[in-house]
Amino acid sequence: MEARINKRKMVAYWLATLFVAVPGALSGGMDLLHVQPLFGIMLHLGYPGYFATILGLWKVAGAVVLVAPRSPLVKEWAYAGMFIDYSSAVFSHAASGDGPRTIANPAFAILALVVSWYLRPPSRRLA
Amino acid sequence: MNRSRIRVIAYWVFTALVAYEMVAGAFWDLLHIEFTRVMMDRLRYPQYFPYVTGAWKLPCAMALVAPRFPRLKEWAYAGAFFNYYGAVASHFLSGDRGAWPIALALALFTIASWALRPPDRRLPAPAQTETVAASRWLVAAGVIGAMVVVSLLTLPRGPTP
Repeated sequence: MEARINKRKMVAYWLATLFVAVPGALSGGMDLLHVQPLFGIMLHLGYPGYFATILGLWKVAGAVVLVAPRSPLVKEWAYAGMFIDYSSAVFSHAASGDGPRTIANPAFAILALVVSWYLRPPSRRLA
Repeated sequence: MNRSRIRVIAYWVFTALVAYEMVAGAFWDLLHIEFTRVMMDRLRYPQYFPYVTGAWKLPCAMALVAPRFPRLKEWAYAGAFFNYYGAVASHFLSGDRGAWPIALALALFTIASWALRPPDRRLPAPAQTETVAASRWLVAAGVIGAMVVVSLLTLPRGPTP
């Protein structure tokens, strides 16, 4: 029974983590290379093109850190950084007058991020 | 003076410098003063951006100064580092070569404060049996309160030079 619950927790942890890490790495790559559609969204929100370069580097790094084994302290920084990134995205879309559909994307990412952080297994956790 | 004492003093100097910049920055950002508006135009950021950064700066300063909460402190350090690193990179990439040394110094102070943090402010947290004395909480609250007052009395008038 215990083992089954743990297995379910691990599946949920990995689903949530990959839900954040895979799009995070892809969008970070688009940011870094100034590729559409993400680069256009950045300009639409009123940010300078170079801001995509600043963000993209850390988005790719954050995605790698979340998937990598161990390093629980670095993971705390990655979770913090991604939370700041996605919550800023929600605010930026709202401030630019975008509809609820665009705001839903980063909002779901925040939800998955919190689930991933909450369910992270002992080997990826600091006491 | 022994080494551990120097270490504690250095920790508090760097922590106070970062915390004060965060408190002052929160008000410069959230009050959307002319200094901030001109800087946003110069760096080509949208004018709503100071509200995004400013909202987290006061909680960041409080987390750094308060006793304990080591995990919250790690998040605050991460946020402070991304903030200052972003400022350095923005000044460089926008071609504004004026203010980057201050932002770089603050990024380094953030790292120094983090590296020097004492054991009871570090993860994994040691087993804590006794509670934090109320006086330590009062001192922390007083420090933040004093920083708020000084920040509001020294708001820059006019644009950045």
